[in-house]
Amino acid sequence: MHHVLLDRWSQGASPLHRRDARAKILTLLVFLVLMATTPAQAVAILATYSALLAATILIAGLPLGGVLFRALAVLPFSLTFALISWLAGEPLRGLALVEKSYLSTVAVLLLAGVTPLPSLLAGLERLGTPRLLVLVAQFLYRYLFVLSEQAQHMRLAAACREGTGGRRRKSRFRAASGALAVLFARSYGRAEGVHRAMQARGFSGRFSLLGATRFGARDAAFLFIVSAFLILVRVA
Amino acid sequence: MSLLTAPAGPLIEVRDLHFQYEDGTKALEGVNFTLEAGETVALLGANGSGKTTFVLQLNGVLRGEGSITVCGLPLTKETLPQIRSKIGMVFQDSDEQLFMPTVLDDVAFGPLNQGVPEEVAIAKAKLVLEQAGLANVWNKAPYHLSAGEKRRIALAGVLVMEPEILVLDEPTTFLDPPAEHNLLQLLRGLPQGKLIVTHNVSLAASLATRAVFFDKGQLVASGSVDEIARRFEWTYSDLPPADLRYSAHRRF
Repeated sequence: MHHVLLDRWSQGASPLHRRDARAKILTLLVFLVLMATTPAQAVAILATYSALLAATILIAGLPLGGVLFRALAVLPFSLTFALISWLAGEPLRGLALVEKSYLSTVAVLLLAGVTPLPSLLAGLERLGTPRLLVLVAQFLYRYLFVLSEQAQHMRLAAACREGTGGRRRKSRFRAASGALAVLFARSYGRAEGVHRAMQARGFSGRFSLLGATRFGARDAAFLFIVSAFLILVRVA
Repeated sequence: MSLLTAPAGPLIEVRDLHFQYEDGTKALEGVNFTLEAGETVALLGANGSGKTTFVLQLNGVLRGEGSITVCGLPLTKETLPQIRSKIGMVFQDSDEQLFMPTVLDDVAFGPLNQGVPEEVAIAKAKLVLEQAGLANVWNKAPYHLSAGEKRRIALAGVLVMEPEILVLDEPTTFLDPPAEHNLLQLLRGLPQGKLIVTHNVSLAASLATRAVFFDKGQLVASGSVDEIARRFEWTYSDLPPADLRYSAHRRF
């Protein structure tokens, strides 16, 4: 079974990994707000933020190339809007849009790479995120792996019985569409099974996530110093 | 884990239980059953014979017509929380039972639902994990674990609630022989009354003091595992006799 790379990254032991999730979430929020409000022509600020992100990735012990490469996933979306801006006669704005969305994605990946998802969810919940959203994210995270494993098994089973040449393409398409339907039905059945298992252990509608860390002085210092530095760069 | 004190009467008493699914399929018809303290009963029968539907009635996950009494408590909407803390149910598919992000979260899920404070729930969960030989995986995500570990964690998640009755649905499915052996040893050491849903006659013989046989939603026989296996051998009559000693799965 293949596991999500982020999950492996988040099991590290760097100083960033040890910080409370709430401190990291709030710092990210500050960064995203500053990034969004940075003028398009402020190249020096964007360059400083880029350097800061790169340095943080290295301090966290994450692979710089791996993080930067995965953040490219946002480009198809931001490039579309950048193209519209360019066609509207605002090429600089389009370029800033690409830069900002890319750097923001790197920052989000960095947070996910240094915080195990259970801690991240606990942190979000303690910061006031609606419980329902946290629960949906939790179940999605938990069963994504189960479903992806089932999908892989079905893909293998289909590959073992697929034809050759033109028939192979056709059979692949049919297998993929069939597998999607089966996955949906299985997900539905599994949801019922999970609900039964929850009921059997006394679930009455209220979930509790155990706290991973405490918000200590070091977390407060991290939040204050990094946020202050980011604001300083932005207003200087 | 606290020592269990057996109630005076039977642990489970089921009288004239009927159940029909929404699509009209009659799954249980007039089932009568008793589980005495200290007993381990194997529920044998073919696929679709009503075994799993029956055990899901015992803690009110499915509700049919008839009377069910658990540790002296009649199964009603009001007694449901108490009954669910008395019956620990280990499901066939561990992935359905391990829904929390980490092993510790999952094992602590039941105690937290029972109103146990978080610190106590964590301490209890860690203790049970240690007793199950899983102390080193408490902070892992369930999908990182082997099938055997998942099954033991599912069991730990139930044992931490200190149930008086354990219901195990096909407990050895997907397990390799060493994992099966470890699980069986763990189960043999547990003092609770047990209900084991299985097709596997050898598993039933190694754990159960009695067996009952389900056929088309009816409980048609009760006796020793040997008696039941011999009496219903005809169920597997399309197999060579040697295969019958192991499991009905061998039909395939």
